[in-house]
Amino acid sequence: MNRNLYIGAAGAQAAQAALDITAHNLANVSTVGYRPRKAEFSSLLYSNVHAGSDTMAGSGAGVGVSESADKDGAIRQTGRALDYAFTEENRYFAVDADGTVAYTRNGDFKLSAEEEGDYLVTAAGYYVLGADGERVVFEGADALPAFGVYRFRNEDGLERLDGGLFLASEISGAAEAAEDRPKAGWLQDAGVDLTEEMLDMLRFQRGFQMNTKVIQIADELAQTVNSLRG
Amino acid sequence: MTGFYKLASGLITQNRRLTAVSNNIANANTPGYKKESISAATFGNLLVQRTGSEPMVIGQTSLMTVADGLDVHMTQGILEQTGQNLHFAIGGEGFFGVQTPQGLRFTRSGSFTLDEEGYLTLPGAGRILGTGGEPLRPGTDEIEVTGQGVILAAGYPVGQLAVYQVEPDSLVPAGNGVYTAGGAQLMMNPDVRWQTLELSNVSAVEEMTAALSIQRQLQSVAQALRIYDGVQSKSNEIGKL
Repeated sequence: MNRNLYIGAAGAQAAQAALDITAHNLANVSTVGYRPRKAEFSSLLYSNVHAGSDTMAGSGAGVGVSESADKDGAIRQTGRALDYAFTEENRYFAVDADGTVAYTRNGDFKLSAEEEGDYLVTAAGYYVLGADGERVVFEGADALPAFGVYRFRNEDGLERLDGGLFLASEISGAAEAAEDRPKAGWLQDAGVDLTEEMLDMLRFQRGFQMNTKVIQIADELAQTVNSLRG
Repeated sequence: MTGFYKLASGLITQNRRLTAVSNNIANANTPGYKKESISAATFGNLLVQRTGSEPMVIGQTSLMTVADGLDVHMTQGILEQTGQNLHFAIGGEGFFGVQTPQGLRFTRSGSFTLDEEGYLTLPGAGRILGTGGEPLRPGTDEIEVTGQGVILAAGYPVGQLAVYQVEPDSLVPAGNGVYTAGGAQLMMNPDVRWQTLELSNVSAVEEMTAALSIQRQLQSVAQALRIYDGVQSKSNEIGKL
């Protein structure tokens, strides 16, 4: 009897999860190098409407996260010496995130002045790594630092960490060295398309409302049946 | 007393119809999802006979209506260009083939990803088949697709997406966007669109209208049931001493 209630609830939850993803994209509209994610709906399990029947009925919708919103943001000139951006898609800087090698498209770096030299670090203080796996030294605005530049077989399969960092995973494949050099004095904007996100938000909001309506109707049906014996 | 069962089966059938409508609404944003509906049919037809010295047949009646089958409405959904390399859609007829642990399944949802071995995959369902009957393995998401679904990775052909034609009446949804179906045959000239997704063909207005109409019908049946009960209780009073 209550199957309809649960279908409505599953649909509403899926819409809510999709809204969360959209909201996250919108919140990061100004985050340098941010890659947006997409909500991907799919239908859930089908089962018999009652025992012994061949008739199948669904049980609502679920939502998954797709990393495949492969829209890299535009690059813009900042003029700041420690800003770097790639003009190609699927290119990453390597950083030393507390002992593990992580990858980022955010080229908004800072200097860490130490006795051995001026090292480039990310906003979180992680050292930027060169092609040899050593920390990258900054030798003045005229010389492009010896960055390690990497690409991935399947960029969408990267595992996402906080702070715009990614880890190579089995799905993305190991990092492969790339020849391209970043441009100094430029940064990459977030790849968030505001129009698209606002449209998605409206779609998911209406979806949520309709599914809550289904819950309400299912509840009213149950009430009708309950009041049969008046 | 047959009226009780008729009316009760009406209640149950309306409820089952709402199940399909709810599922349509929940999947209004699911790519490749096709509208479903429950068809109702009468069940257990009986001959009604006049008894007495000259028995004769006066008609047929049935004891109840039941949810008879789930119909899948195979109309085309809107094709939305997403610009993403692993998104595919089919214009017109046809299904992508999915290799699942349970065997060959079919889908209209072209929202694919790559699995850890580099195979083209429908998440939660299985690997996507090429025309040779083997799963396609592009290995990278930097692919090019030429007309009719031939996939090139780094310039080399990986294979061609298989598009099957199936018996439309044999389609049974199996969740995660896949169907079982019989009579599958490879299509010769499929219209495969790259970087495109087919949206669901669910119309929100239609489904909400259907939900409301089901609600009212169920209320009417409930009312009839109450009246019937009233009549029965009157006839119970006749014999009272």
